[in-house]
Order: sequence, then structure tokens, then C-alpha cells
Amino acid sequence: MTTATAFDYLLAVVLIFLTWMMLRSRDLFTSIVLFILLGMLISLAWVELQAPDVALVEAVIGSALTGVLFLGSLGYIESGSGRQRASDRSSFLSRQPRELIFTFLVSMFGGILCWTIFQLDQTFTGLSAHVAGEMSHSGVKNSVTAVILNFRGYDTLLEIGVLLLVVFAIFALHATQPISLNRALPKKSRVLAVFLYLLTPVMVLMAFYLLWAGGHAPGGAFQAGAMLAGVIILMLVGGTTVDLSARNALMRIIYIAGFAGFLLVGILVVQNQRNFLQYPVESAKHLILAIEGLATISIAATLVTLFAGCAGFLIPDHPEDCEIGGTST
Amino acid sequence: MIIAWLAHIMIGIGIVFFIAGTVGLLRFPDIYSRLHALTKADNIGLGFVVIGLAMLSGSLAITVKLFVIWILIIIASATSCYLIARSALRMKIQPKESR
Repeated sequence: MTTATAFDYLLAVVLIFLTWMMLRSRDLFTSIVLFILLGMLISLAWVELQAPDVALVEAVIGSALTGVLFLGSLGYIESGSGRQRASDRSSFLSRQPRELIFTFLVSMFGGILCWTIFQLDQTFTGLSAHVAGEMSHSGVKNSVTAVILNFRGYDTLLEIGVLLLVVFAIFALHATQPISLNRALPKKSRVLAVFLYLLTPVMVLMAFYLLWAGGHAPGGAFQAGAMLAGVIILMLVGGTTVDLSARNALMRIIYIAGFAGFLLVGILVVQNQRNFLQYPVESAKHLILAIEGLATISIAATLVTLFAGCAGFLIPDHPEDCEIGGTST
Repeated sequence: MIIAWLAHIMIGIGIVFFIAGTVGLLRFPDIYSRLHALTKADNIGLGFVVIGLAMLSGSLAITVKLFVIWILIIIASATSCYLIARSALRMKIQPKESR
């Protein structure tokens, strides 16, 4: 990206305009739709900035999945028990001081961000040259994968740990005991069934391609995991029963596989000269592929559980005191 | 040279279909006719854009990929159109009578 085109300026203006529309909309549903649209355009902006990896993640997780979670939460808020709890909570602070506090916090945060931009070192040219210089030791050909899984593997390990915590949070929020099984839609659609029959193999293949492509092109565990999650979510919506319960031993293994595998590899490579997560150069490629493969499965399972919890597909053990809103029936 | 001209004409026709679909989405009275405008017109429009891009690409691999994308989008949009219309019917949304 050397020069900004007219299209880039248009995109920038539309992004700001959409953000404003989203924030001033009084209807939460409109806000969410605008949020999803905004995410799609942000991912287009990432494409324009020549960051296809970020664009993929933004489109799938930032826009689509977060949008679904918002819609699920909206369904919950508008259902009876959610509204009841919301009114209980609003007595915590009355409206005006709450808005004042939020305004103060947001403007302080915005101020710090602006200040930081002016503090940036103008002569700094980025770390691209360092990354390019070290690529031959990384075991992969795609610089993004090299950075994420090798050069800053520790951060990625913690990120996958956060995903594991998310699973705990979902189970904690939605039931006291392990939860399982989806609620099939009232009438299964045969069109959707044929669609799934045709496209599931293609999408699974695509997920594995994305995983493999991570070694030399945009792709990797997060993109592949999101793709796989998309397939399973479609299957859930189509009426397939998937046991997501933590009571299911296989699911427990799947949830922790990514984090445990990453940690194990990190520990196993420790030798007299090597630190934690410092892979030997000759086997780095295979270690990274193994970590990404396990992480893909865990990420997919986590995203599916997140969706299922939010969209009302998880059945709590005591429905009477844990009503969940979500998909309209 | 002629191929490049043809390709641009194809993409232009595609864009016309997209604009028609968008106008339909904005102007049509109810959800069913809007769905009709969106999915039908955009699929054809995308087809023309794909043909144009395939002519410009000059590579068999890219051409095949573009057509696979087109076919996948046709399947996906037909399915989602059907699902939206079905759930609208379930919610007892009446089609608007023509005047």
C-alpha cells in the first residue's frame, strides 16, 4: 500500500458514518445489524491495508460471531427473565450519574489514545525487517504465522488459555451442572438439510485447507477453527444433535486440547540451551502444525459452545430458574 | 485487447444488476419481493462480474476458483432466501397486495 486511493477515502468516511449511525440508533436490533455491517467494512479496510489474515478474523469473529452473540443477548434481554434482571440491576445507580461516569471514562480513555498517537516514535519503521531476517528459523513461510506461533508464541498460548476460560464461563453462566444437547428447531427444513449435505464436506475441506495454508499464506488455526465452527453451527441450526456437554469425556478433551497441546510442546522443547516455547529449527514446522491442528479443534468447539450458549441451544438442568432467551421459535 | 473490452462490459452489466437489486431492496413493499430482488438480481450480477474477472485473469486455475465461488454463493443465497421467507411466513407476515 503506497498511496491511498479514492476508494480508501470513501471507505474511511463510510466507516466513521456507520459508527455514528450505530451509536445513535435507539433500536438495539438496528445497532447490531449496523455493527455486523461495520465489521464487514472494517475487514475490507484490512484487505486494503494488505492484512488478509486480520481481515479473515475480523469478518468471521469480529463481525459474524460477535454479531450472533449480540443478537442472542438481545433475545435474552427482551425475554421476560432478562428484563426482570435488568430492572433489578438498574437500581444500582440512577441514570444520570451512570452516564456521567461512562462519559468520563470514555473521554479519558480516548484522550490517552490520542496522546499515545502523538507520542509515537516518528522514525520507527516497524518490526517487518526483523521478522523477515528471522524467517529462516521459524519453520514456516508465512510471516504472520511465524510471528503468532513462534516469535510471540507465549502471547498466543495465553490467548488460547483465555478461550478455555471462556468455555468455563459459558458453563458457569448457563447451568449449574454440565449442559448438553441442542434444542432442535420446531420443524426441520429439508432445503437446509440438502444444503448441509452438499456443503458440509466443502466447508470441512476448506477448514483444513486454511489450517494447512497457514504455513505459507494467510490462514491458520483461528481461521480454520472459525470455519469449522461455522459448519457445526449450521448443523446445529439444521437440527443435528451435538453433545457439547462437559460430561462428555471426548468434549472435555477437545476443549482443553489446544491449550494443553501448546503447553506440552512448549515444555517438551526445553533443553539445556533452549527456553520455554523455543522450538528447535529443524522440527519447528511440524511442531507448529501440531499446535495449530489441536488449537483449531479447541477453537471450533469453543466458538460453537459460545454460540449455542447465547442462541439458546443449551438446555440448563433447571429451566425454571435459568431461562434463556434466544432464537425465535 | 478485445477480451479486455468484453470483460469490462461484462463487469459493467454485472454492476447494473447489482444496482437494480439494491434499488429493489430499497423500493419494494414487503420482505418477499425484497428477497426476490436481492437474491435473483445479485446472483446474475455476480455471474457477469465473475465472467468478466475470469476473462481478465488469463489463468485457468483462477477462472475455476471464481466459478466455484459463484456456484457456492448461488447455493448459499438460494438457501438463505428460502429460510428467511419461510421464517417470515411462520411469523405470519402477509405479502403486501399489489394496487
